[in-house]
Amino acid sequence: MANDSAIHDRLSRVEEIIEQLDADDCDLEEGTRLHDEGQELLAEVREILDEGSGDVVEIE
Amino acid sequence: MADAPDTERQAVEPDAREVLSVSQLNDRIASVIQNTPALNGVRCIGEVTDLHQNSTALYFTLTDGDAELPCMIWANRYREMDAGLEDGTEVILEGDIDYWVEGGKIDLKPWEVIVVGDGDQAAAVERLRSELEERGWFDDEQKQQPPAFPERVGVVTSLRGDARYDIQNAIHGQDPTLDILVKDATVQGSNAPTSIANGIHHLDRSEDVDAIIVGRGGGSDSNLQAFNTERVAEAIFTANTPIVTAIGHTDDRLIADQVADVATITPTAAGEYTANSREEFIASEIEPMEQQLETAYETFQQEHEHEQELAEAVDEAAAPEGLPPIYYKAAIGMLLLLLLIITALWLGVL
Repeated sequence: MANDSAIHDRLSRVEEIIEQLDADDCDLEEGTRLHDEGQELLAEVREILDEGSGDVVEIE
Repeated sequence: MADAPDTERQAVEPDAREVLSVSQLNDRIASVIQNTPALNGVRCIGEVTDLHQNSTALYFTLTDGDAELPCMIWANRYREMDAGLEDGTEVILEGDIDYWVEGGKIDLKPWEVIVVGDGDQAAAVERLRSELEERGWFDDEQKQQPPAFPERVGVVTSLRGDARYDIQNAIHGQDPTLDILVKDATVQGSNAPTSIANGIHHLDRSEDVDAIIVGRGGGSDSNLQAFNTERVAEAIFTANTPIVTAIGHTDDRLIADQVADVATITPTAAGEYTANSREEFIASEIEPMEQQLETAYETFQQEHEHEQELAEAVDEAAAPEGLPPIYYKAAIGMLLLLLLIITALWLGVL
């Protein structure tokens, strides 16, 4: 399956987190938790991009 | 030439030990052609394709659908003919077969051109094009957007063609992790439409194929005719998987291109279109977002640390100096008790 939605959903959530941090509408503890979540999501996107072996299969 | 008489065969039979240069061999071929009466003053009927012209000459290919013959008419002679040739014109040509020694190429040099009419093949293609347009097969609403991040790409082309390697190299140049499934297909000749259509159906049914590239390298108009057939158009139109065409050509629009979700002009372009550059995406999207997240958090943290420091300072300022209130309360309690005892003693109660 194509990875479009998996990547798009994660990046959208990271954008939301950045907006929440910019808006400054949570306490320090919650902000730290959001920051960790954002870092984790971006690492997952990199993992998704690294998946796959680049195999070439021929069908006669 | 298989039935050439012995005398003629001996005249051109090379000495087994003789090693000829390319020029010598081409000269020998040219002399055979020039001295073969059956190749002089020939008349041939066919359809004009791949017509192009420069100041010196007019070049085109004569085809009957199954075979092709390159043709050339000098520009000044063509002007005298007033023939008005176009791709698809059906003609009877009269002329000599000629061999170009330096290039090692054979062609027909007509001295007479009789226009018979519009070619059957060209007319049939235009009829089909109009019919499919009426059915709405070329409409933008029918087109699907191929995914930006496919996991596996299917390719319908000849396993032995250059196009297959161009597509593979372009895909893996963009994203080395993408899997590629190549379905062999005959891409020219009478079997090509069925072979290409079957290839598309096969990959469309395969699980996890996110996009299908259908293509071949460039060729003459008649070599590309399979991509102007209803069979191939229908296979593209009915596929659930997005189809990208990759037929190496530059002039005429092919019906397959018009039905496809995306048409590219070369196999390499199709590969590059189908696979997003992984490095480019990381550099342009992921890294800036990582930076934005860190910046937002740093600012947020500084704000909150400042607030905390402020709150602590306020608490500190609000607190009374000296001992904590409990000591004062205890002391007051003790004093009251002492006062009671003194009062009691004074009243003689105790």
